[in-house]
Amino acid sequence: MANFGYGIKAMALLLALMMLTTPMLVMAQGSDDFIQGKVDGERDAKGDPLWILAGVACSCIGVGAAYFTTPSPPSHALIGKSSEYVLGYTEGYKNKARNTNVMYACLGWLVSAAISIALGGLDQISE
Amino acid sequence: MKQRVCIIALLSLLSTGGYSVKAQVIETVTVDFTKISTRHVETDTVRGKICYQDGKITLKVVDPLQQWMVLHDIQTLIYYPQESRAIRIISENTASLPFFQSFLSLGQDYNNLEKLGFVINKTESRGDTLISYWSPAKTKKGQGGQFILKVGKNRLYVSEFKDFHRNLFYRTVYDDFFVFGRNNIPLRMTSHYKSDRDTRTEMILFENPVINQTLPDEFLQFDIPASTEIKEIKW
Repeated sequence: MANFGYGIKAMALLLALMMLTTPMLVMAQGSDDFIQGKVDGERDAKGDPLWILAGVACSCIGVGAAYFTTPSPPSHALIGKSSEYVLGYTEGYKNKARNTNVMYACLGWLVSAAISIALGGLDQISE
Repeated sequence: MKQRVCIIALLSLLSTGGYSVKAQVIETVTVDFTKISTRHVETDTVRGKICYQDGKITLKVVDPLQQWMVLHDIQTLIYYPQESRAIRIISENTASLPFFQSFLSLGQDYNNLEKLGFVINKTESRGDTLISYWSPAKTKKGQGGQFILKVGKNRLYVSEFKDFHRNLFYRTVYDDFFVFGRNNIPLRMTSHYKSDRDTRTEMILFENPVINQTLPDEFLQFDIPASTEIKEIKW
């Protein structure tokens, strides 16, 4: 009889553990999807080299524009994916593409600055 | 920028197989699809149905999960009925599904490639197949990559894009053609993409195409419930 009582207690404990851990497992799955989406989004984001021109033409304004202009991820990459994956993908894509665009714009700005310095140096020599 | 627009336009044409002799008007499309993506050793299979009407693409995924996707103008709405959750994406550009363009671009004429800003570098004839080599106009030689199209019997069989500067290679093989009027729509497209960072294969299979017929009721009447939580993302 005592063994039966222990069995009931053990089963109750097991059930309680299952009830506690199931939502955690579901959350972990959601989190995994988010991370996977973010990794895939970062991998697919390439940035746009045209931002070099923006950096050359508009200096710091071009860099700022590159930061505040949000690149568009492709819709077809989101077909058949969970909501967490979609949120992760869009975040990863936006961040990576934006950072790459800012890098391109900074590069353009540096090129522009280097040209200005070189032209300034030429003016001094000619004077 | 213009070059980019031209490339996108050509890729859109290539993914369409829209090499019609005579344009025909597409008002509605209903078609089942299977999308099989392979990256390294992982394979992802998605099945569902796509409907199109009045510029709106509605897509219902049934496997591996329940998902609705509506693309209209600059908005993409993704709805998960099992979670009662939706994501609305508002983009600066028109939302589109490149692999579905085969049904939407029947009106594209082969000769429009030139109007879109592409020039033929050379052509070759091998049996029944005409091979043409295209590049964006006003581009310095060796830059911007090269497109190769293989066409026979008014059907686009193969399209290739090569960019040696960026070590990029993209090849799509079209087959299993569905005849609509004078148009040949590929029902199977197998694409192989290779770059420095990535290698992947994607196969799109279309089944049961129905053109210019009334859409199924569940697509016509589709709307997300008012109580659905919607997360909005601006791209």
